Order: sequence, then C-alpha cells, then structure tokens
Amino acid sequence: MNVFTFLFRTLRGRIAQPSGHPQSRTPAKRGSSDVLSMQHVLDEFRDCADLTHRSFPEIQVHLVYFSFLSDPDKLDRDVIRPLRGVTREEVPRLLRETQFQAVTDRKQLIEGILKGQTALFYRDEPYLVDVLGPKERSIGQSETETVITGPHDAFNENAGSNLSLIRKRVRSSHLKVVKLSVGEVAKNDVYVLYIDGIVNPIYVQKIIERVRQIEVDAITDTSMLIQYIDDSPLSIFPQFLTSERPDAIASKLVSGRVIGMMDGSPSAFSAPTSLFEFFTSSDDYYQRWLLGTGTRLLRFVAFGITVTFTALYVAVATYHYEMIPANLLPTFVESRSRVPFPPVYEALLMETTIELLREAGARLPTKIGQTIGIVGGIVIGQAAVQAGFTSNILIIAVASSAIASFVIPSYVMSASIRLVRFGLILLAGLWGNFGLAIGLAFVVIHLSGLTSLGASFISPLAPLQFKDWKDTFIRAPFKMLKERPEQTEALNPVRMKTRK
Amino acid sequence: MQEKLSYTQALILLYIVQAGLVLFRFPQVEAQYFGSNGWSALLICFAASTLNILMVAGIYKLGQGKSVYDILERTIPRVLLFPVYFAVVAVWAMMASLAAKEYIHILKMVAFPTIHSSVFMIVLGLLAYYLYGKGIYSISKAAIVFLFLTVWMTLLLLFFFSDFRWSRLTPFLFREGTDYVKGFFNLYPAFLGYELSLVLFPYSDKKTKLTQAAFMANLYLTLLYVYVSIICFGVFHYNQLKHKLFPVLDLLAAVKFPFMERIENLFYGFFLFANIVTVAVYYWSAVETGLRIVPKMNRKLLGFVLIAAATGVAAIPDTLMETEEWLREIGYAGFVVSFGFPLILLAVLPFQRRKGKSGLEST
Repeated sequence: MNVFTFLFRTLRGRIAQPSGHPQSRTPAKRGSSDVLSMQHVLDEFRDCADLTHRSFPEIQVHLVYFSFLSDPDKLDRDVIRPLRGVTREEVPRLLRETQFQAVTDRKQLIEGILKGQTALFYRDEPYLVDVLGPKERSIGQSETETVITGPHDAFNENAGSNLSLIRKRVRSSHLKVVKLSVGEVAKNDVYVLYIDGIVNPIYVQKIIERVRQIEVDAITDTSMLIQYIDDSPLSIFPQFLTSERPDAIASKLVSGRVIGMMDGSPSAFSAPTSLFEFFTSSDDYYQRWLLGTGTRLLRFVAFGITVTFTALYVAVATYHYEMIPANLLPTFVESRSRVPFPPVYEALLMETTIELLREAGARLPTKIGQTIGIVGGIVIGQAAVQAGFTSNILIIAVASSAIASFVIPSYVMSASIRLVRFGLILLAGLWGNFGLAIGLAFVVIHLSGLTSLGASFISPLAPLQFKDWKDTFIRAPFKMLKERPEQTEALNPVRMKTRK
Repeated sequence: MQEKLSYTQALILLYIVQAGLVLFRFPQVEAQYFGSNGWSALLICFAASTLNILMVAGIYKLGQGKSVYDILERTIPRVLLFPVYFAVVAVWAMMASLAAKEYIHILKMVAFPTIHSSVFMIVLGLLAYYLYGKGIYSISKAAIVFLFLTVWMTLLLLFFFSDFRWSRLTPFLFREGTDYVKGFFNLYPAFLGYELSLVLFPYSDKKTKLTQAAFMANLYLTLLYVYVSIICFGVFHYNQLKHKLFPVLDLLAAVKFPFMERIENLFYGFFLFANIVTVAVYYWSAVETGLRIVPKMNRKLLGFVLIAAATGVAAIPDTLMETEEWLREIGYAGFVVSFGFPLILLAVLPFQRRKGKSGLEST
C-alpha cells in the first residue's frame, strides 16, 4: 500500500466517521461483496411502484421505504422533522439517537425495508428506523370461538399485538419467544412461544426443526403452517389445536404446551394436543365446575350424535326394521312409505343440502346468511317432506346431527367430523350396523395411530391416564386440578401447591 | 427407541385378545359338557391358564425379559427351530382368520343371510391389516378405546335380573354332564390369548409388569365369563342352554328400550371391535414369529401375505358348523402352542444358565 492511498483512506474514514460517533452503532467495514449503497437497494427494488425514495440533498440524506407499510405520523415525527431541523454538520449527531440503527448486513437492510422500516442513507451509510405502522385490524372479538363469560379479546393479524396479548397475561421472564422465518419468497415470521422450566424442551425442538425444514415459497396462515408440520399430513384430523383466543393460548402455555403464531394470521396453534382438547372451551373454566362438566359431557354426546345418528337411521331403515319398537313402527313406515329413494340416497341428499346451506351461510354477509338459514331450514326441509323426497324422521336425524356438529367448539375439528359422517352413512347404507361398526373401527384405528409432536393423539384415553380425565371428560373443581397434563411431559408437572 | 407398553395397555390388550374368540357360545359348551352349574368349569380353565401364565412369568424372569426367539436361537440352531416357528405361525394365523370367519358366519346368521361370507372376510382382513400395520403400541391404544366402546354392554345383562331364578342354577354340580375332558378342551380356547404375552417381551419393561398384567387380564376375563355364565344359567335352565347355539346373543335380543329393541345385531356389530383386536394381535404375533424365518422380508409385506393366505384358507369351511369344527381343532392346536412353546423355553433357559451361556446382559 503506498503512502497516498493510505492518506486518502484515512482522510475518507475521518469524513465518514466523525469523532464521537459511537463505535458500536457505526457500520462495520464491509467487503466488496456486501454492497450496502443506496443505488444497490434501489436496484433491488426496481419496478416496485409502492417504494418511496425521498432525498434531502442539502444534508446528503436519502430515505427509502414502503409508504404503505409505514406509519406517516411516526415517520414525520421520528425522521422527517428531525432531518429538516438539522444542518449537514449536525447529521452525525442526530444519527446517534436511538431510533437510528446502523446496518452492516445487506440482508438485514433489505428485510428491514420489507418489514416496513425506513432505510436512511447518509453518505451511503445505511441506517434503519422503525416506523412500522400499516393499517391493522383492531383487537376485536373472535367470531369462531365465542364465549359467554370471560375475556372477549381475540388475536388479530399483527404478531406484535398478539404477542402483547400473551405477555399481558403471562407476565413472566420464563416466557420465551423464538423467532423463525418461513417461505423462501414471502419470508413470513413465525414465533414459537414456551415457558422455560415447564415445557419439555423436546417439543420446542421438534417444532423449531419442523418449521426450519419447510421449503416453500409462502405460507400465509397458521392453519396452513400446521399442515406442513403435522405428524400425519394426510389425516383428516388436525393434530395441532388452533385458537384465536389469547386466554386459551395463555392457559395452554402454562400447562406446558408449545405455542406457535405467525405474523399475518389471527390464530395461534398449540401442541402437543389431543382429540379431546378440541372439545374444551374457555367457557368451561369460567363457569362453575358442575356446569362446565355438564357442558363438556354434552359436547361428547353431540360428537356421538353427529357421527352416528344419520348413519344409524340409514342402517335401521335399510336392514334392521326389527330394531324399531312396535308402537313406533307405524309412524316410521308411514314416514318412509312416500319416499321413492333408498334411505342412503335420501340421507346423502339431505346431508349434502345441509352442507350447502352451511357453506352458503358462512360465505354470505350475516343478514343474508340468516335468510339462507330460514329458506333452507324451513322452506326446503318442509317442501322436501311434502314432495315425498325425504321422510320427516330423516329431517330430524339430519338436523340433530348438524346442530350437534356445531356444538363442537373447534370449527376445524367439527368440519373433519362432518366429513367422517358421510363415510359412515355410505357404509351403513351398504352393510347396516355392521357397516357402521366397520366405519367406527376404521376411525378408532386411525385415531390410535395419530400423534401430535410424537405424543398420543387420544391421550388421556389411550394410553390410560386416569388422573387427566378430570380435566378432559369433566371439568373438576380447580382444587383438584393440581397437575399439568401428562401428555405434555412437563418438566414441572405440579401447577398447584397442595393446601392443607 | 421402541415405545414400551404401560401396565394398563398390556392388561387391556391381553384382556380384549382373550375375550374376542368365543364369547357368544361358551355358556352352551358349559351346559352341554358339564351340565348343571357348568359355569364352575370356568374355574378349572382359570386355574390352567394361571398355571400357563406362571410359566410365562418364569420365562420372563429367567430370560430377563429378552425376546423368546433370541432365547431359543441361542441354544437351538435356527434351522431346527424353523418347523416350530412354522407351526406357531400357522396356528396363530389360522386362529385369527377362523375367529374372523366365525364372526362373519354369526353376522350372516343375524343380519345378512344373502351376502357371501368372502366379501365380509376380505373387509375384515383389510381392517385387520390396517390395524396390524399400526404396530403393537397403536394396537394397544385402539384396544383401550374399543374396550370403552364395548364394556358397557355387559351392564345390559342386568336387564335380566327380574327373569333370573337362583333355582335354575340347581344345587348340583356338573349333573348331566357328558364328557368333561372334551368339554375342558372346547371351553379352554375362550381363555387363549394370554400366551401372546410371550411375544410382547421386547415391547415391555419393568414398569409394564407384563406377567402381572397377563394374570390380571385373565382374572378379569374369568370374572366376566362367570358373570355372563351365571346370568345365562339363571335365565335359561342348563337343559335349555344345551340347545341354544348362541345364548348370549339370545339374551341380548330380548333387551328392549322404549325407542329401540332387538338390539342384538347392533351390539353384535359393536363386538367387531373386540374381534378385530383379537384377529390383528394374533396376526401380528404370527408375523413376529414369521420374521424369524424370513428376517429380511418387509414386515408389512409379510403381514399382507400372511393375512391374505390365512383368509384364503379360512374360506374353505363353508358353513358355521364347519367353521366351528375347524376352530375347535385349531383351538386344540392353540392349547398345545400355549403350553408347548413355554415348555420348550423353560427347558432351554436353565440349560443356558448352567452353561453360563446366556450372556443376556451383553446383548
């Protein structure tokens, strides 16, 4: 290196880094491969019409940001106004303020801009300023998991808000959050939450590994994400419990489960989970234990009804008339006598109609949805019976099954169970009670083979863990709920100190 | 690492396997061969099966819970063991397929007289294969669910308390009995199933308390049989029982609810749950043994081949009577296996220990 070159570099370094500039916040020396100049950033984002580039030539400062991702007030308050009020000499002093984060890494700079931060270039030295503030849905009620008592707030699409809702409920330094990223193109943030000292680290490790192994262009919702990390992706049953309720998720956290949430998704997932967890609701805990127990048992009865009632009708009406008591037989036969179809066609017709109504009601605005319900429920149901398309006993069976399916708190599980019902109806139509038994056996065998993060999906029924039954099939008084579920294999299984 | 069965898993699994074979007809066997109070013969069978379980316990203790096949192969050359393995595979696979066939025949009799039994046999074979493919740990989990789906049916027999007469039991023991020995061998298959605990050694550890689970399963099963038998003997007279093919089904047929009656075919449908576990576990045990003959064969493929072959052979007996005759014969063979296999092992184990050849800790 000759003397001139040395002097030039020294002088350039002094201009670029005025005295007193904190070393820690100064961009580190970069290699030629790690280009951080504004021009390179603009090249990276070429043809992005929503990118804003503002210049302050008098102080040699340039701003690059996505205006739709930024909060204009915050941008004005933290960046624009301070820049307008300084001279060129004062800029280095301004950049020492905490909101300006020096950037040394090209990837960090690009990702920062993509996340809504503003990139500030002062003589090609980049800084990032957090002015993120896109329009977001305010915290409102959950539409899919309504409760009568208890908190009504629900997650929204902003991970920051969602994390704050959890932090507000679990004020512990043991609540840890691991940030991951999925989607080769979309680079969505995924947060894995757990409580250190309670959770079994094996489960945390499994989720992190599975999320890291995902190689896909984009994942836009938690419900999509869990399908990538399921133990059995081909199964009809979800193996992760999703919820929009922060209180429910907070309780899962303290019971030793791992929570996952995604930026841009209003639901969080919890694992390991079991089939029976899908039948619980926050309401069970907010009501008196006996009421909570009754409601929970009612849901299991509803499960039985929704799965078997229509199939049993088909089996009896097709093969087993002898099962109907003599005093009920005339009504039954009279009801069936006008119907020209075999019971299985009749049942499938009505079940499909109910599913059409449900789907139409779900997609339409609330007011029109209600009209659809009236049109479908009363007009089509009654007209179908009068026209002799179906028997009124079947209408009772189908309607009871449909109502029972909506008693199940989890929409995803309820939908899965409804689909199972169609299979059972077909088998019952084919082989009566034996077909029904074959179908149920198939479902039980399938469920027995399922796992959630490697833990049994039908715990605490199998393997038998009787002590967990008091918070599974019933909701025992809180005094009795002293331990965390065995399924979680929590490091600290005791949740309540014994009082004498 | 291989997941080990828990105590309750092992207990319920063995209980369901035992209960799945001849539950519906054994009171008739008791009445026919032992006469009055024929249910007491169950206690003899219980004693015999307990003795057999003690043999299994001895093997478990002497062999330190190692695989029974490993124990055998340490002393006897594999080639010499092949015939034994073949026999065990054949007996267990045929017990599974004939249990399924008998179930199908009764089903046809109860509800579907016109459908060919092969259709149902194929369906049951596929279902058994599906369950078998899940592995013994999942089979045991399914067994627990199936137990809860069926165990409440035993309470239905309480409906007959009003028809129950102690006088029908008579104060006599084994009066008008015919052939006690034949009766014992015809009744004993109702207890078979515990011998499969031999194959469960590698899937259990100290916490499993496998032999204790086998004993308790056998005890609960005996209590169930005694309960069902006493109700049958008290509702029907033993002379009546002799002429009933399936007395338990006849009892269930008389249960009436305000909204449903003649529920025997519904409950018989549900009995599939217990039957399918029995069938799948026998197949699974047969495959475990079969893998010793063809160790390199894919487990699922061997299972499929075995189930298909056994189902094919079970298609030969055409009627219920023929199937029962086959089942009786295979029941004798099952009896021989259940005592013979442990006897061979008990003969081999002390020899290994004496020679200091066991080396079991090192493996």
